[in-house]
Amino acid sequence: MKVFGYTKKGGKHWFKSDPYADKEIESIIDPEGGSEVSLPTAIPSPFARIDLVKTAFKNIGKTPELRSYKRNDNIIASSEDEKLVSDSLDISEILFNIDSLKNRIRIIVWNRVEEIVKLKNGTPEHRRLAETLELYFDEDQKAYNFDLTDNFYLIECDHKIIGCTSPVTMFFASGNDLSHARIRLLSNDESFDNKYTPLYERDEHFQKYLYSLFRAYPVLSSRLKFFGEYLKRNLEILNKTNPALYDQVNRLLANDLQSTYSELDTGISGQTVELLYGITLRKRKKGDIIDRLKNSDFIIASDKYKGALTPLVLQNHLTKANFRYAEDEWDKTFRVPYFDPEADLSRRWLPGITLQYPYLTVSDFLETQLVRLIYPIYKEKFFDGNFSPEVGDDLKGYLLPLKPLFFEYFDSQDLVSTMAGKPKIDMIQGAAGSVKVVLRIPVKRDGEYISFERIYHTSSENNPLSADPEQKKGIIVEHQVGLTIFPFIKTGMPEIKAYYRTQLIDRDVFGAQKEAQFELRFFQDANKDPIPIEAKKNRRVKAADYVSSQYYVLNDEFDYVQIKNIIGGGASAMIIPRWNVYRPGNEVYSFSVDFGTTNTHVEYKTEADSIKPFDIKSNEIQIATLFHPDKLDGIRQESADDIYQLIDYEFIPKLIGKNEEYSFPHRTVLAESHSLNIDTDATYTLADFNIPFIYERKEDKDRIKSNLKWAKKERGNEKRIRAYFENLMMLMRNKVLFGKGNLKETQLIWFYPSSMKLGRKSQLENTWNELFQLYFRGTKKPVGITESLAPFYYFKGTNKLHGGAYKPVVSIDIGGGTTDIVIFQDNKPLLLTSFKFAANNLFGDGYSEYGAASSNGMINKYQPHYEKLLLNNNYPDLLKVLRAIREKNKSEDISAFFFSIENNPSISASRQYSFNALLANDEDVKIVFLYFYSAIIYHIAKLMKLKKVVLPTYLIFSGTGSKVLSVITTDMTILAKLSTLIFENVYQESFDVDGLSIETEKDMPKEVTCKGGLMSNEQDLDIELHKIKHTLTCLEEKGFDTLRYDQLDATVKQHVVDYIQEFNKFFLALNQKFSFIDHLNVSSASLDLFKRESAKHIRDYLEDGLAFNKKMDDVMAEDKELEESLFFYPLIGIVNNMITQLSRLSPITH
Amino acid sequence: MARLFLFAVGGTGSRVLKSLTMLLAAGVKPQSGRDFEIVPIIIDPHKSNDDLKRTVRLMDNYQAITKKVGVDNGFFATKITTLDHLGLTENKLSSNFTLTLQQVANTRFRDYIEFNQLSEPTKGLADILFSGKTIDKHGEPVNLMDIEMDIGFIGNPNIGSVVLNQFKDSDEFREIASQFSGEDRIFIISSIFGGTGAAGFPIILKNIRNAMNNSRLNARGLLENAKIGAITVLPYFNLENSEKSPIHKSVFIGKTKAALYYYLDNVNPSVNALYYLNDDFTGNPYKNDPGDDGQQNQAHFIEMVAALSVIDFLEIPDEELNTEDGVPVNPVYKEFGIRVDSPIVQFGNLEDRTEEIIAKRLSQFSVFQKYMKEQLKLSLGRQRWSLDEPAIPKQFTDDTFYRSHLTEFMNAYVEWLTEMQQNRRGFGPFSLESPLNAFIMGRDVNSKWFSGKVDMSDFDDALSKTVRGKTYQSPEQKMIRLFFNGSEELLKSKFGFKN
Repeated sequence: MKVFGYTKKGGKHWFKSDPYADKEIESIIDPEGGSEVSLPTAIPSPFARIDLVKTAFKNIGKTPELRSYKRNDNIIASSEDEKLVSDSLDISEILFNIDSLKNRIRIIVWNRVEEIVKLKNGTPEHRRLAETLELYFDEDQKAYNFDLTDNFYLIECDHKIIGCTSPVTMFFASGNDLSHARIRLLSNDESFDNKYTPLYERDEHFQKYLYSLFRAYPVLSSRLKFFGEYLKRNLEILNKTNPALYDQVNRLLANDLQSTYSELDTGISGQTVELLYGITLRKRKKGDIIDRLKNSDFIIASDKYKGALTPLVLQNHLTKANFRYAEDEWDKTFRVPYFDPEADLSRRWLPGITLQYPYLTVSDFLETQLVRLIYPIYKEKFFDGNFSPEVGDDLKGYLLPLKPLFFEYFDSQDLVSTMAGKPKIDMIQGAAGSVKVVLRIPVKRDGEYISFERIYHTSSENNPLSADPEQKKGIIVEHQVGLTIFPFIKTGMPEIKAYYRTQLIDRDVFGAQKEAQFELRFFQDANKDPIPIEAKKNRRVKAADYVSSQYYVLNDEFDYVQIKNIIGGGASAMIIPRWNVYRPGNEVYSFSVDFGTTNTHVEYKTEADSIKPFDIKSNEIQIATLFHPDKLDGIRQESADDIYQLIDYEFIPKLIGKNEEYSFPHRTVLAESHSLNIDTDATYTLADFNIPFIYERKEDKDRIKSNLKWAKKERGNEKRIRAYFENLMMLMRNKVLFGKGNLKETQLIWFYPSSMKLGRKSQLENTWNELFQLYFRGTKKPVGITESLAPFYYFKGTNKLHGGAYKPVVSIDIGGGTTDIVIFQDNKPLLLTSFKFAANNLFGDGYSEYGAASSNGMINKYQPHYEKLLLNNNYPDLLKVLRAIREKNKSEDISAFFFSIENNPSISASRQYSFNALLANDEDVKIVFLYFYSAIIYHIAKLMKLKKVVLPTYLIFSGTGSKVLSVITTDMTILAKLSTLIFENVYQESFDVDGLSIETEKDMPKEVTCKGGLMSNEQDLDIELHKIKHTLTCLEEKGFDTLRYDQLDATVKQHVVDYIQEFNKFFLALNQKFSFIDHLNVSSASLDLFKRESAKHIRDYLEDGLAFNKKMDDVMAEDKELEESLFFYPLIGIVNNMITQLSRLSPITH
Repeated sequence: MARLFLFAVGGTGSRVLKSLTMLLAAGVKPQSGRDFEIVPIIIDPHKSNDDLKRTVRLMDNYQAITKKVGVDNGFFATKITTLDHLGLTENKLSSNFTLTLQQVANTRFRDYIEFNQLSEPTKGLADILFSGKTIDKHGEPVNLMDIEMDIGFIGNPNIGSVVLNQFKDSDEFREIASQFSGEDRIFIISSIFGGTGAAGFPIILKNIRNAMNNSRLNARGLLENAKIGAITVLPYFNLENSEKSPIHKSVFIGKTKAALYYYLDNVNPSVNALYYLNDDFTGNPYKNDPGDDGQQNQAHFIEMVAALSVIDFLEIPDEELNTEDGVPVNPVYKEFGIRVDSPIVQFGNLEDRTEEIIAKRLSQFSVFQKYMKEQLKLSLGRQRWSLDEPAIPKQFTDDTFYRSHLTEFMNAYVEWLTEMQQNRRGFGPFSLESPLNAFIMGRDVNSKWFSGKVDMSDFDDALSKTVRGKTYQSPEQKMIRLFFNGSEELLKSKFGFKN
């Protein structure tokens, strides 16, 4: 028997049977095993897809695991069914998460009533379509609930329809290719992919939503029968596989739907998505996902970040297992882009899934370019990124390729510290010069981190690379830059104001990087904006100088620095200093500053330590260089020596001190850029100016300004003086900081010449006070002391004066420009006078307003000698220095250089370079020094006699100029004898048994002032100087105790000339009693010449002197009183003339 | 006379109609004794389909024969009237009995619904309802929306359902409506696994049941409650596997199942009698040809069985086919069984009832054709049955009736038989090339009084015996009726067929 049918009911011929229902249909066996997946629609209805999906739910709902299923070769549910169900759930889940997809998803309402009418009124084609739809709406309404809804909601993704509501299965998906809508929602399921996901493997929230919907509307279970059965089966599976969720689902209440989920609308407020009449769909509440993301293992572990949404940190190829992502574990197939072009993190979409939530990836933290330096980083001072050269040497270092964003999450110290839970960077140099940078970012999951990695390669002509943030690969760019921070110390105390200078040297002058132009930004960990830059100054520019130097003036502390080449596409990197930290102590520092015409000296003392010249010892180096100071080979290979040299030239030397290259006293000079416009620019110390410690040591490269002390008429002089003081002030302040001293208690003593006008003095005083207040906020005001007072206290304090309590002590301070005389009696200053007759009159250019070295005999005599000496002994650098100073044609500068050579630490066998020794052996010029000395003593004796002061017991000498004493003789007793003679001849009386002694510190005559200042006490200084100050007119015998300019008529002037001639006679008479030739090796030729020439031109010199000083003193009113003795005016001319003439007498003798 | 409006949808529809025509020509009739006029309507956009052409030609010849001789001659005993001959105003319809579809030639479905001019929401709806891909006549994948419709709906019955809804507005439907009377019946033949048939069946059914909403129709109420039978043919033949073809055997099964589910809810409840028919016999694969060049498939036993469902339907008493408000009361579902599952079915393999209905008639018609082919020219003008008035002279074979209509029909009949025999599963009740005594398989010649030999002279004798005392209106009518009666006599006397 054979029946041609499926009921298995036996029968004959055409017999009555049953309609084919599930049992029969299932029993139809596909001979090919159901392999056909892409089934063309088989349903003879325009609503075939709705039917297909309905049937699919029905079939899948019958399977044990809600997947395609065969029973005895009999297909219960095909893979096509599985796909249809999965796609339908995908649509549903997409709408549940619509807020994450708002810009991609659109809901379009199709209203049956409106649209059918529209179609019927249209073309015949449209009418036919309408009538077909209508026919099926009517005829098939029972099967599809067409009687329960008028509206169909079409779901569009990226402008293509992907699905639609179905009154029998909630949704059905389009049969078109939906790969454009492959979306990962929060879980690892991707919509419309080839992996069909049953409901129980989907987002738990989505599952709960569906159950809530059916709980709230029980009618759905009968109307959406197969969907309901699917849910039922799903719940059974949950019972076994996910008891927690099973429990939650069972506890759902009817009103949970409304309270837990938001209304789903079409985008038009109030236009809700209605599945069946009165049954509206809902969606996930906005905050819900975000709240859950807070539990992601990928949340960045940053205490610092305070934003609303803490970003995730994501990496490719995560090998760690079980990292919770959004709703699900991280899927290794997810690809994290190296770069997300969306700069606003909150508008980023998470990779793999579909959610707008901030996340961070490699290019957010790591630059695409790695800056290679030509030297290893000085890792004791700067964090070197844990650099390790696995391959190759460590001749070159690398800057941290970190972006500023990194520091919004971490402090710079987090990176440096090795504590757990902090980010860590490693930079490993590998093959072919590549560098692998691994940045490990701690994440929320305890003890875990995510690694950002980039391998930087060298770009070359053969292997040209470009910086592409989307690539893992980065490129290495080499920059020849140097960076130095001053001072390299932080207080961390807001009450202590910060003053920083940062020097940036750019030596990229060749090749691809020659256009590079760098800019620094300075950041505090606490603030994502850089600190304000008070000023940025360029002292050198590459175009002109083959190197650029840039200075940043900063008034805030900072934790890290960004360096950026601002030329398009230039590299950027971070620099993290390992700051010294100031710990305030109670050590009180006292400083004294002798700002001299030629040299300036600073001494300091602490309670613990004795008085000594200012120094920077190796344990208190104030600067920090990025390069390692002992590893300069790389720099030298590139001939980029400017990187370290310009620090000394333009900035601050590392060390200062007696046995160092630089020391105090130092020439009073200031360096500034040749291009500095002193008038218009706001200028800054250690940006526009610096004290060039290289002066007289190395060939200078800047505009060097000397004669700061007296050149008050020169434009910008005040600025320069201030800069000079400020530079010193900074050095002193930093010394206190590094020495853990008490800033506020610091004391400052400064000196001024007593001949200085009050206005000028108070100007200096203001400058000192102001700067001191700025840098120390001290409780004690700086103390200004007359230069001449201090030496006495030094000699007194060092017990060099015996007796003298009653008998006067004459302190003679011979500076470069002035000589100050103070007569002490009873340890108190009794009488004071001052005149501009000092060392510069011997070594300078007299009344010549501009340099006259070319006609200066002594210079002309000794310069060739020094040139030859330096050349023969191979000191080319010093020779250059000499020639450079010579260029300026200022005799005092040149001779100052001669004097400095023997103290230059780079000179060996310094004795033969000693200018003092040379001069001491120069028997021709010695007569002038003797004359110079005698004039001063004579003047003192005259004054003392006039003031009826008893004969002194000591002459004490200080000041740079007192070095001339040793030119005359190194035997102070001889000089004492000569002096005795002068006093006795003036006084016309003899010394008693105590006689006259001379005390000096011939090796450090300059330092005596400063030291003395620090040894004096307040009561010593409590003197009204003007009361004891006296100026000798030299015409007292003619009745002029004082003189005004308008009194200087021909007669008066003649009296002066007479007075000089009288002195000349007096001087030559000394030779009779005390043979200059015998005692002092004065050549007879010179003596003869002196005798002939010294009487000449006296009146002319007087006029020169008057004119010069009138101009210097800015004398407008003729009735102004002369503040200086006229005695020295002609002498200056005589000395100058004599030296020139005497120098020609004979060549240098050795 | 009551009519049966017979819709033959798609290729299978045409072939079943052909089988039915053969059965009717052989004299197969409902056993109820109630005659129906058959009004076939072929619905197939597949205009070049050879099956369709052959069927049309066959119907023409059938009608030409019955026009000449009437329908009470045993053979050709059922009136078949195509629509164009139905009404008072003949030739009102453009074609004979084939529903003409408008705007399908060289038209993509997208254009057919003027997609681009639709409103945005409707565009969206159409986009998703008609989403997905299918394969065009060149075997290339194409968007469903872009399918050209003139080669049938190529396995896309959802497209078909829209296009075939032209039926609703067709002149044919209106003609049917205007001709439909309460005693008339409707039968729809379709296959479930193709495109046209699967779509056409529900469309016709729904439009009839939904006639109340069609203001252009007469007799709407009658149509709504019409007695409707239908056969849905499930896959019954094997198909050559061809990558190029959109039609796959495996697809057949899947589609069948899907459609059956749809029918269960949306079709079954509207049909008074639904006939299911399939065959899972794995036989000769059919050539896989989607249509343009033909679907010239060999006739199949199952098609004949399907044709028998029409006969069966006509036998159901009116009272079992009640319909109220468009919903049939107690619809019936039928399946077909045979006694022996044989690869080549012979009469003996059929159930008695089936054999009873067809064996004698088909045997009669078959020996008639065999006689026509082998003996007629020898006997004409010689044998008594030929010479009796009205005489059938030798020249008879030169007339149009014989030469064209009858011979052509008979040739088609032989072809039909041959094809069914060669097909697998086959239907081979006759050994067509054998001498008469071995002609009917499984029927031993009655040898009681003769040596078991039967030949054409026995046939001549039977005819001459039959012709005695009979009057005929014309040689043509005599020819048909005489051979019906004569063959019946021969089969009774010599082959043991019963009355």
